[in-house]
Amino acid sequence: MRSETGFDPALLDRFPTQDERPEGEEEQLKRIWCAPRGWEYLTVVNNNYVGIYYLGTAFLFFLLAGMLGLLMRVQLAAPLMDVLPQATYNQVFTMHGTVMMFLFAVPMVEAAGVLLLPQMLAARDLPFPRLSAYAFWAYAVGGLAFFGSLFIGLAPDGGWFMYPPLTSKAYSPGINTDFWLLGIGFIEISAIAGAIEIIVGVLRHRAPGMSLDKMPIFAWAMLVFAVMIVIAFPSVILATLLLEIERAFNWPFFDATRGGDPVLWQHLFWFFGHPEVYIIFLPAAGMMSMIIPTVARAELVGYRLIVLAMVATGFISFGVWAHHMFATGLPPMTAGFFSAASMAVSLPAGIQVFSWIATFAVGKPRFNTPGLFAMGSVVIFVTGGLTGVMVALVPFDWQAHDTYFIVAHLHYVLIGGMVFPLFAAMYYWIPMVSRRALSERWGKWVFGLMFGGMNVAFMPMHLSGLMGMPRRVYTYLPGSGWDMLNLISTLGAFMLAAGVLLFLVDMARNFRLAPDDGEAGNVFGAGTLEWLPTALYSTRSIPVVKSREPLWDDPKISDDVEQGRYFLPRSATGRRETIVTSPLLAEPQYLQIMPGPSVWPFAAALFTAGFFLALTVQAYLFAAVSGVLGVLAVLRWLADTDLPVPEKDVDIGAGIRVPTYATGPQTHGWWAMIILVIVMGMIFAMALFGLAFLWGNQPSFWTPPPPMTCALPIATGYLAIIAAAWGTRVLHRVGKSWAVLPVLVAAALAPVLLWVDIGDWMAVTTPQSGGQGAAVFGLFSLQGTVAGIGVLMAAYLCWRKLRGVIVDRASNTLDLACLFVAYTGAQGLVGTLFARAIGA
Amino acid sequence: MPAETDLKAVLGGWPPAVLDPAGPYSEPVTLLSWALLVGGTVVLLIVLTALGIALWGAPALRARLGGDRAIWVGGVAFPVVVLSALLVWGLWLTGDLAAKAPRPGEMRVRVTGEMWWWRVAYLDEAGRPVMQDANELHVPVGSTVLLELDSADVIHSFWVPRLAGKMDMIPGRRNLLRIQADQPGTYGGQCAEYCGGPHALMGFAVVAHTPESFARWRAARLAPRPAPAASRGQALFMQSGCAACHTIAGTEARGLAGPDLTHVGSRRTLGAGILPNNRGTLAGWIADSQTIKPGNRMPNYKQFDAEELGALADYLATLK
Amino acid sequence: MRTWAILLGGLLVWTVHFFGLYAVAEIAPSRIATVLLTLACLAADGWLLALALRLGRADAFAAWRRSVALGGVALSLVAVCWQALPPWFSG
Repeated sequence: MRSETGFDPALLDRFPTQDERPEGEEEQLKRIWCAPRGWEYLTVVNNNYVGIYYLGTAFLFFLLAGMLGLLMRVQLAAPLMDVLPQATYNQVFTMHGTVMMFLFAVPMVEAAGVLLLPQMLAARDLPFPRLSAYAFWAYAVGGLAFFGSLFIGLAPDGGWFMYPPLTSKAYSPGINTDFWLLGIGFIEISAIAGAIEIIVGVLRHRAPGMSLDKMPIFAWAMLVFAVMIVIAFPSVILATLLLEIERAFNWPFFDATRGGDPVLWQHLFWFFGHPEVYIIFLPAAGMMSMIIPTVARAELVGYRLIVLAMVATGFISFGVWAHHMFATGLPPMTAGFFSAASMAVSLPAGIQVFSWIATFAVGKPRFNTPGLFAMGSVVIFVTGGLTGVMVALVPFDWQAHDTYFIVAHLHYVLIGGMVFPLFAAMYYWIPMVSRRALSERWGKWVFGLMFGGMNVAFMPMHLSGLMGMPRRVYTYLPGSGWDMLNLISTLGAFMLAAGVLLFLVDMARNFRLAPDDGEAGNVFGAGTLEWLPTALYSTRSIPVVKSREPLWDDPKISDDVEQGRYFLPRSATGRRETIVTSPLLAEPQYLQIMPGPSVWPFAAALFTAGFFLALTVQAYLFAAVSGVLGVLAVLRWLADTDLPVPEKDVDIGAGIRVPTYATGPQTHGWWAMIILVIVMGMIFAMALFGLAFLWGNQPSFWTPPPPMTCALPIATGYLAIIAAAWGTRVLHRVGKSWAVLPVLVAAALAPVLLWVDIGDWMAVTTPQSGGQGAAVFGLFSLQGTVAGIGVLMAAYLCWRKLRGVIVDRASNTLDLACLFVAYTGAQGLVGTLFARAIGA
Repeated sequence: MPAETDLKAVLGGWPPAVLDPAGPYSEPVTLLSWALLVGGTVVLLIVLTALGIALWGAPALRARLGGDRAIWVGGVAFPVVVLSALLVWGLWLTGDLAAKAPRPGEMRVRVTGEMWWWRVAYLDEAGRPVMQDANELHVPVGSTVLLELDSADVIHSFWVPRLAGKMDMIPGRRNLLRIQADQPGTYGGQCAEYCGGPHALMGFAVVAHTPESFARWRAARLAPRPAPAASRGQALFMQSGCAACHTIAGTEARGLAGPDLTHVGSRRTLGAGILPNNRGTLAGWIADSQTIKPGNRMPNYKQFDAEELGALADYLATLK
Repeated sequence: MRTWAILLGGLLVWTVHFFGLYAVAEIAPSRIATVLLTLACLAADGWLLALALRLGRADAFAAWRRSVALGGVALSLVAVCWQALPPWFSG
């Protein structure tokens, strides 16, 4: 494959350039990417800051959830202890799991991506810096408020899996459950925002020449991670939405007495919940695959196989969700498919483990702290993986399911697969952002305590599980023989905690943030781009990448980069900017102008959090006001974007010129919109599955839907919406400036069609009357939301048009609004036909 | 002390229940478990050895480990062989153990999970309930018993590890589970699906009799019950609201919300597998069940004095 | 798109097979249907294998693409075969 975009690869041979760079370029970069002062720390959008905020907050949640774990271990240290009363314990174990999974693990790896990816790919920032800031603030505010519910006794107590009907209004009348549903549902939005950012960043913001086969393995891991979030998280978002609607408005999605089905929740939850484990594991495995070559001072063995393993994990992990449901009475054939897929998903894990071992074998391994954590991770993760294979076998799972054996298994997998790699990563990458590295001497103690404590805490749980101890018990009876094992587990937990405490002390002693300059640097002698000298604008110039470890293969590269001998040694337009490259071979395509700091993402996040929190405590007026302000804040932040610059094309180094404004399917904005549409489509697809599932399992509650023939005008209307949205784009491109009108009309038509459809259905059923009605009106609710956003987008487009900001024939704002409105039509079309087809 | 032995009905003790099968629906799983535990340990040792060689081994050994070939062999070929065998074993066993329709002449019992106890109804051939009990299941040794698992409220999970794996009790569904005990004795179980509140204190016992002794037990249970002699305890029971929630066959106590107490005196445990059953615990439970099992659906009856509690306990203890 | 299709082909076949089997098991359990689906997916894997083997290895990227594609097909073959087993054990 010679060229992907028509770019002549020979042009890359012009670098490094030889002539002296003019004075003042570096100062200009420093000025444009200047550090925040005072309250500006709230408005920063640069990944060097947002990444650190993000990591710090996620780690705080690790500590908080860890303390909850310790409390649980104290309560279980002996039978019939009275440290935590039952109700408190049930809240604490629910919060431990929920916070670890949703507020620590996913945000932590996402944060690592935000901090590390631009550096590794030699981009100036992530593609949508304001979206990063919004995602972070939404998560931080929402997460802290959610955790705070524990202090007022209102924390959820239904388990992190929130199975109805225990979590339905009948059995959980308090607002504890609503905290979970609204809090977590909302935080997932920020995970998705981060995923969009990461996909576009990894595929379009790589340094020129960094083709897919030369991409750092961590970037591969984050790419698969982000795609998995896009596919998996919609499912849990939909589930939380449906359960909240059931609780608030009495639509019986999960109520078996009225044609709903509690098992539907389990499918929706685990379709997210199991991939979630790999979503957490893959980035950590990516970190391992970055750290181990450095520790072993050798190239990663089996890079291709690891890429394959990660991608394969991404696929196969979507075929294992029901292995959490083997005891629900699945038909043996269905259970068998999930069992087989659960076996298959262990193959990629084996490939990665043996790649790491092989890398140690070819190199000269050093036993420094990152190395020790990496080695410890292999041991623990393999142990957890082997028990994973055990529980993938249905008959064994019937015994082990929901016992402490599973508690042991999942902690081995997650601590070995995520926490240990994370600690390795912190010891490894902290010199990149801190003036001093962490202490190697202390680090060995931290590792020893954590490794020992982990095994002492969780190894005995295998046995207590086999002895019959169920999970999620706040106490147990004397004479069951579980006493000694539990006591040992508690001691181990404290040993593990002592290791973490020591780490905190080490951080306090040595961690001195140096986002601007003066960081400790490449103390471990790594070979990847994040170890180039950087400032807030990342590297002075963006290097041409010729291998996977450029710093090992080209000793001069750091100096050349620092002297500006590569791409973009200055700001070409006087703004924040970075190079957008092609997805396969990373050929330069155009210059992306990036937005700078702004208070609006922060404000939007506050209002969004306010909206959801107000809903939780049923302050509806406050919620409405907050919601409207949130939308306005988002529109205000958008108003600064998509503004063409005077220079149509610029020299990005060595005489290579690229445009400063691009439109159409090759742009980063288009990609992001496509991903957003996929997210919406997944939410809708899961809702369609829900309708079909209820029909399959509760047919006796079904009433015949309105006739298909009545849907024909509605369907025609939806087709017209798609055509009009597309027509707008085409007409505007040929210079018809009135052409924003069709998309505006189309967007306005969508709610009308929905209204007609609802009218047809109201004659047949109502949302409260049964599972069918709830599911159909659930589809309508989603369609209504999407239609509302479509109207908002079309209105925003017209507003921009009237303001005279859309001057060119091709406009990104116009493209993206049309794309979304077209999606509105497509979703409406599918929904109206599907709802009438099921059970007709 | 008899109380101590009675509490052995609860789950736990040595050897681990999962590895101590007592019937044909748990024994093959135990064999599989041992194979998995031993095999898993061996594989772990192999991987640790490989890691050890990679870190400290002789250069020649390390060279053999350091390449794509080692990854294909260790990470793909070896697992494919082992996992194929395990998968076939697991699938075969799944098909074998999964309960489908009742077999002709098979004993059938409906167990319904309630917050936080178990309703037990023995069924006839046609599936109609013929006698009621709670928190305890009596079975004959050597024949299969088909359990129909229902839920009255939230999801519970029925698990008596020495007899079979667990099966969830889900509202709106009826799951089937087949068990068989090969030796007389008491087999403990516990709810395995988190069901809120005192989920931790929701135990169960299966009592296996020899076929003859089971037949006697069954006949006695099915025999018409003579009206119990009037007693102070009975009077208190009927007047104090107990009868609103509990049934005692042959009396006007016909409440359905709580466990059937017709045979409460003969049960191994109280409070769903958490207390030994004697006069003291009966009285204590009535007076202060909320301390013993916080959150359970029975209110405390503090209005009774010691003498009244004793009378009630005496009465309940006679209900064999 | 073509490169992505080559890279992910094997795993896409796995996806079709898995969700196809799930649909069969949920909607109308039938061994024949699972066999037909499995044969179709194995054929697709075979075709992808032949295609991947013919891919060039001229430069580093092409060689990388070829081996990832081959590996994907190999994993897919194993997983599809495993997936074909359950209908024969479900009584």
